[in-house]
Order: sequence, then structure tokens, then C-alpha cells
Amino acid sequence: MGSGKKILSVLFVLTGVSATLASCSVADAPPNSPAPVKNVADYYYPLSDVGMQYAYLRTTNIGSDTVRLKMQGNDAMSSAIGNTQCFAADLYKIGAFQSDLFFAVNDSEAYTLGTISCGTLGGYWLDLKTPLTEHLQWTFTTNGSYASITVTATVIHRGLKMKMPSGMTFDDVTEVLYVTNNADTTTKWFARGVGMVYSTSNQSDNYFGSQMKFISEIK
Amino acid sequence: MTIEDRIIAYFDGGLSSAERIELMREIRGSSEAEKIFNEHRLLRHLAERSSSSIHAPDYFADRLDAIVASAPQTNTVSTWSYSRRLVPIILLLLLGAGIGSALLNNGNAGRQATSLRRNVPSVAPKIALEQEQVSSSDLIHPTINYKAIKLTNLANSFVTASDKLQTINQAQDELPIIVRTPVNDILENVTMSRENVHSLAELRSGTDAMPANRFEAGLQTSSGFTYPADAQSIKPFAGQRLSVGYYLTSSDVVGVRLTSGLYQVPGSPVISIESGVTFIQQSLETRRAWGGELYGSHHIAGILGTPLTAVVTVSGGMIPNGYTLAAEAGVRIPTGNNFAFSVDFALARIHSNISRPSAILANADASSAPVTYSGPDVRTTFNGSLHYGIQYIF
Repeated sequence: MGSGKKILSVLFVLTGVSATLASCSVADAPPNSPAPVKNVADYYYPLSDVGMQYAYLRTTNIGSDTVRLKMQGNDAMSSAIGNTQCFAADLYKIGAFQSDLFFAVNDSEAYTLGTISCGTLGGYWLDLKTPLTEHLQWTFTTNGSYASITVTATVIHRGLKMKMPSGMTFDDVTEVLYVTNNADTTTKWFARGVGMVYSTSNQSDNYFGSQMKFISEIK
Repeated sequence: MTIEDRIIAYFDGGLSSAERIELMREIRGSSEAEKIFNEHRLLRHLAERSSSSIHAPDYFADRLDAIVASAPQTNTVSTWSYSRRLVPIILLLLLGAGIGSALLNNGNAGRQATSLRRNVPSVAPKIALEQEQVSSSDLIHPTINYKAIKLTNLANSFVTASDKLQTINQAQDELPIIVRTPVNDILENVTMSRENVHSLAELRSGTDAMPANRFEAGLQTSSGFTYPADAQSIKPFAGQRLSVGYYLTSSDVVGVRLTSGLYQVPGSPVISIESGVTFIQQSLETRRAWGGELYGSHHIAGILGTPLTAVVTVSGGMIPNGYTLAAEAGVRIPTGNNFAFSVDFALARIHSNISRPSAILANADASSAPVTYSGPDVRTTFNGSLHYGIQYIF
């Protein structure tokens, strides 16, 4: 065999080896930072999915209970902040209706409005805001029990993997820390395609108590 | 005076300028005269290259000394042609490698080229003539009995297949102007103490014969890139490796390597509690680790008509909690009878057996509170590296 043919043969073999290496996933993807979220609705409750229910294990200062959040779709009185749409959801315990909760969402912002309908926005809570990137901060003012309070929200982590006590796992979770001017803290974890899956707070006198764990979704 | 007498006188320096011009004119006009001239030229060429190890009677040695002293310097053309081809390659490799000069103990590529040029004759066959079969009349007669010439030291002078091909390439450089038959006769009757090569073709392939030197040892360092990587994807002087190989044939080598390299692996998980949640964090890190490899190489000597030897290698080995697979291609540049400068470009797949995030999360205790994880899902990286160093064959 001539030298040229030999070299060609060897190059052919090397090409084959390289192709083999490439075909079996030569390398893992680089650990890039998660891309900024442009539509916060992707990380929020499926509010327009009427009838969808989420079950949570709630802990308050009087104990734990299981509550459900049932999506009711668009609120008829929708007239919310900016360009948001207003949605309603029932927060209830099985066999006992508790209260209506209202939410306002568009691509760039997601609010929990509380029990007051969309027409009145005094006590809203700005859960998420674009661009959702690590260390992003925003502030908002909301009505407390006796006075307005200012809340500073900070995106602590993006792209987390999360394992729940039930064993359920989520692959793309955003953690947001909310700190009030009274130094009260609330932390919420939002999973992509699901919504809030966990929250903790040193204030238990709210709708979500001191702890709210996502258990399951019920259709 | 016959034309052959004048040719002999020409090589002996016994012709005047006018006689030399006339002789050249006759040679150009006669194929028979050209044949005789080329035969004598070949003989002078061989004698010149073997002048240091001739074993012949005193009168023969004296005769050779005279021949060598008066021999035209045509041989230097072919040897310089090798060096001229090597210079840009060596310059490129040395510039790229950055440390070539230190490894070779040469200050610059020009000196290295000079060294290589000087080394070419050192690996040429050393001729020993059998006293009882060769006489001075044989030496100067056009029908000289080439078959009586035994290149008994030929095998000993060959270190690698590269050296063999280098010799043949030199001979072939002469073929266009030298009658082929005597060359082939010489080569066909070469008696080699170990390799028993009987033809030019066999000598050229030279791959099935067992070499005189059966082992190689190499020391290389490397620089390269890693993908994915932490902040620094280029890792200068990332690796070192010491290799010992065994020649299965003169062109196939198997061996072992001891390696020290930089690898990309996730660091140890750092566990903390954030807002009542167990938070596990990892980051990609560069770590140095020792490893061991097995490798197999195939050598292709005399590439592009130069003394360079191309080498292709596949290797696989173990690193702490992982493995490597690599394919390499490179060259060996002879720097002496037993030493070579080696350059190899390697593409490697490095795999770490460290648990993936999903496994870390699955094993985490989330019975009382959720567990979150942040870190790279990188356990397999792709490395490209240029290895360069020296090789010793023994």
C-alpha cells in the first residue's frame, strides 16, 4: 500500500473514531446562566385553565390543613393595573368554601390581588416581574393591616431543581425573596409551567400561612 | 584513454577544466557514457557516506579516502532538500509549542535544521566490503561486482522505520540520474543482521520486520481547550504524560502512560439552608488529577518524502472517578539516532462518574422541607490538546 493510501486510510479511521465519539454525546452542555424570562405567566398559576385545582399543605399559627386553589378564569370585573388581565380563583378547604382570590397577570408582571376584586388594587402583591433574572430587584407598596408597607423583592435563584417532600421534582424553579420595610420576609418558589410550589413566611396571618407546600394538581 | 578512464580521472580530479567540459559534453550525448558516469557517481556517493566505517584492505581505504576527498558534493543537495522542507514545519511547531527549543536544547529553529542536516548522514548505511571479494580493480571497473558488497552494518544503523525510509529516499533521489539496476542489486543483496530485507519494496514498507530497538519512552506536556469549561477554557501546560511503549512491529506500538492533567468536574456539593429549604450548590471546577492510559500507535514513516514519521494513536484510560478516550495524530521529528521531537494533537472525551444533579436530588432528604439544587449538569467534557515533547527509542 502506498504511503498516500495509508495516510488516507488512517485519516478515514480517525474520522470514524471522531464521528463515533461525537455520536455518543461527546460533551455535556455548558452551564450557562438561565435565560431571562420574558413572560412571567410561564411561572405563574394556570389561571385561565378553568376548573384546574392545586392542592397545598398549608401551615398557619393554628396548625396545618390542606387547601385547594381552584381556577375560575377571567374575572368579569377585569380592570386591572396597566395592561393586565384579572383572574379569580377560589381558595377553599374541601367541603368549606373559604374565599375568592384575585390575580392580575400580563407578560411582564404577575400580581396577587387578595380578596379584593380587580377594580380595587390597594393591597396587591407583585409576585413576579420581567426580566426574571438572578439578582433582579423590584419594589412595591401594599396595604398592610394598619399602614402601607414597602416590599423589596429579589430574585435569589433561577433555574433551580427542586424536590418536594412528596417526591415530586421540578426542573426550572425561580426563588424570590420579599422583604418588607418591617423586616418581615416571605420567600416563594415558582416552577415553570406550574406556578407557586412552595412559600415560607414569618407572617402566618395571610392566606398562605407561614408555609405552603404544593401537593398535587387535580383536574 | 577510454571514456571510463576519463570518468575515473574526473572523479579523481585528474582532468583539466577543458577536459571536464569535454567529458560532460560526451556524457550528455551518450546514454552509455551517462550510465557509466552514473555508476561511478553512485559508487562515490556510497563510499563517501560510508567512509567512517569501511572495513577493507589498506590500499582500498586509501583509495576511498582519495575518492571521498575529491567527490563532488552532489549529496548535499538531497540532504538539504530535507532540511529545507523541515524548516517551516519545525518553525511552526516550535512557535506553537513554545517550548520546543528548550526540549531540543537548541536555541533556534535554524540551528535545529542544521542539526537535522548533519544527522542525515549519521543514519545512512555503513558499508563494509568483504576483503576477499573486492579488489581495487573491482572498484574502478564498470562491471564492478556490486553483489559482492555487503552492507553488514546496515541493520545496526537503522533505528526506526523512519531511518530506513530516509535512507531509501536518499537513494531514490539519485534514481533519476543513476541507473536503477545497480541500486536494486545493492539493496537486494543487503545482508542485514536482524531484518533481512531483500528488496527495495520490502525495505520501503519495512513494517512487518521487528525493529532493532523495541521500546520507546516519551515525555510530553500539553496545552489545550476544554468544553464546557469554567471561566478559563484554554488550559496552558494543562497536562504532562510519561509514556513507555513496546514495538509490536517496526510501525505498531502499544504502551502505557502515566498522566497528569486538568479536568473539568463539578465541585463538591455545598449544602446550606435558605428560607427553610435545603439548598445544594455545585460549580464547575478545574482539577488536576493523575491517570493511567493504555495506548496503541501506528507509525507511517517518511511522510511527504521527509524523515518525518506520522503517528496516529488511540488511547483510553482511567482518571479518579472517571475515564478518558482519545484519538491523536502527530509527527515524530528525528533529532538523533534515538531521539525524536514529538508533537501530537489529541481529541479526548473525558467522563466523570460524579453523580448527576438528578441523582443528587433523588438522594437528598426532602421529608421535612423541599430541597433545591443549583449547579452544572456537566459530567462529560470534550478536550482538544497539543502534546509536545521528546521521545527516546531504545
